[in-house]
Amino acid sequence: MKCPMEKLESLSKLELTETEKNLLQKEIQSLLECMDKLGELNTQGIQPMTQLEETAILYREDNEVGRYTSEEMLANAPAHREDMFVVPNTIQRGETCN
Amino acid sequence: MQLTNATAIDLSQMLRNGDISLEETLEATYREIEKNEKKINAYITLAKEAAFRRAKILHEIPSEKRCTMPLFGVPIAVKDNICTRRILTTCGSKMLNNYVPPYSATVIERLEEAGAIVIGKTNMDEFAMGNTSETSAYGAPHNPHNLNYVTGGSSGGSAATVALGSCPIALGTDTGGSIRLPASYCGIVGIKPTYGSVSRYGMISYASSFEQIGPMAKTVSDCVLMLEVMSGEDRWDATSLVNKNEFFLEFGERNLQDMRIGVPFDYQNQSLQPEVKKALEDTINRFASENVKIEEFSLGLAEYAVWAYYIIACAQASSNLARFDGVKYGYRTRDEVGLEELYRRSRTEGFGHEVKKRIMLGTFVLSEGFYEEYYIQALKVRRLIKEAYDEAFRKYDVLILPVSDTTAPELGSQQGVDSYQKDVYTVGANLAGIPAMSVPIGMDEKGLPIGVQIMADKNQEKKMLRVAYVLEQMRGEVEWDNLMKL
Repeated sequence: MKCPMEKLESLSKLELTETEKNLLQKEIQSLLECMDKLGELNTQGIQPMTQLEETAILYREDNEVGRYTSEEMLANAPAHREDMFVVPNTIQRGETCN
Repeated sequence: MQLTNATAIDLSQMLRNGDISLEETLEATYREIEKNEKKINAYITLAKEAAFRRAKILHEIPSEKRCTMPLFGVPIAVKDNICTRRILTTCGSKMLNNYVPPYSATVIERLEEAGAIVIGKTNMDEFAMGNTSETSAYGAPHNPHNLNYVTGGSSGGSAATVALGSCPIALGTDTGGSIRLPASYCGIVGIKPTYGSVSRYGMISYASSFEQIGPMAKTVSDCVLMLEVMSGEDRWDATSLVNKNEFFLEFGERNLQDMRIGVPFDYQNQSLQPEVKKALEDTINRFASENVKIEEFSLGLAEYAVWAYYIIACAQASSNLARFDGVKYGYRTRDEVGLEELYRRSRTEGFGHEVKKRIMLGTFVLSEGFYEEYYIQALKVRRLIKEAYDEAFRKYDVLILPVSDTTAPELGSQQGVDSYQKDVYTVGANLAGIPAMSVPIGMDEKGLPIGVQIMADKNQEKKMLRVAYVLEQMRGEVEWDNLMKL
């Protein structure tokens, strides 16, 4: 079973060169072949362990705790204007909603 | 003033007494670091201004208060995936090469309250993905015992600076062995505590259900002190344990005759390097000669643990790293593109090869048609492995096993699937959420350190530490062949 690289690229939000894609495909394929080993184990009736369940979730009060200013939050922004993060248009010029 | 080999406990006592000043300590620390940093590359950032500012604040603290600060004035190096307010935090990645956190991790706040001074951020595998620190975007750190060899990873920079003695204590993080392996390769003590015992708030996530922040130091007691300071519930980390573990022991306790020690032989199917095998056997024989109950047993599932770990870790990584999109922080592509393209190009240009591989692998195992076969199966195997450890700890108080099948490999030698297999001894503790640590016990013919791993059941750090203290005393002082011959 070959790894569907285009689909994975799209889902992972990556844009690889052909060289990168070929190398990654080989590497991922090798790793999946090793991971297939888990199929040898009979896990019928076993519950998946989604968390270390003996750890009870620690809840806290749902109160607003003002810790940071807008300036602090925007300080790492690649681009910002006033108190907004700036990003490219989500709809490009010439595009319509048809 | 010779800072090398000073423990944190001794140093903080001298500082509280006024035998040395805060500034002298910092100046000596930076001198030691800078002497060898070009060769070692342990640090990504040296935070001199922040450190001396902190020293000024500590000056104002009256002596009655200083007595309550067990790490008063002690320099600490922090792995660069732990947020430190106003100090660059890169995760060893180009993606965060300009990220300055507006907050500090809970562990940092606690350590600073105890008087510690953050002196710099240490080099690491990119986003903690690796076991040699070679995937760092800032160049690999070098092992202070031999510059041609790796430090191990992903907490390689932290291990290197402590081993060298240029900083007495450091923080690492351990997702699949990333504290224990570099500790073993560099000849220092490193602890991965019980999952949930140390808050993860402020640690930049890779695999959330595995990772823990932990101490790295030259001695078991320094590590214990750090754990006492750092651990305990934190309302900002919903997975943090409510009941604080007690770590401190009575010093000088030599008698382990009430303990039962298990040695899982099936985790030694791989051919161990002869000196590593001998070091482990010598340790077992020494315990046996002191009438400690120690025996081999079969833990089971050895050949499945690594792959269960990597499936789950990569799945979690693909989710945790989805936040890096060039919008609110981190690297953004310079190309003038639309929004979708902005995400893709920023991520492709910002992430290194190993990170991209694990994101894609994680995406694959979570995708429709493969989710059951890989991810769910891995979670079921995780439960089987946890049950195997539960069974082992019904019979034994602690387990002793290797940290790695070899001492540190040469730089550039670890490739492909084999490099993942290096984690076979360490991932079990992360899968099961149990505490584990590495204690140095000797060296090989090349002078490279060998560590032995001790594991205990969840919240049973005290048992693990009892054995570690005794091992440390049995071993005595180690004269490393090559350290400092740089």
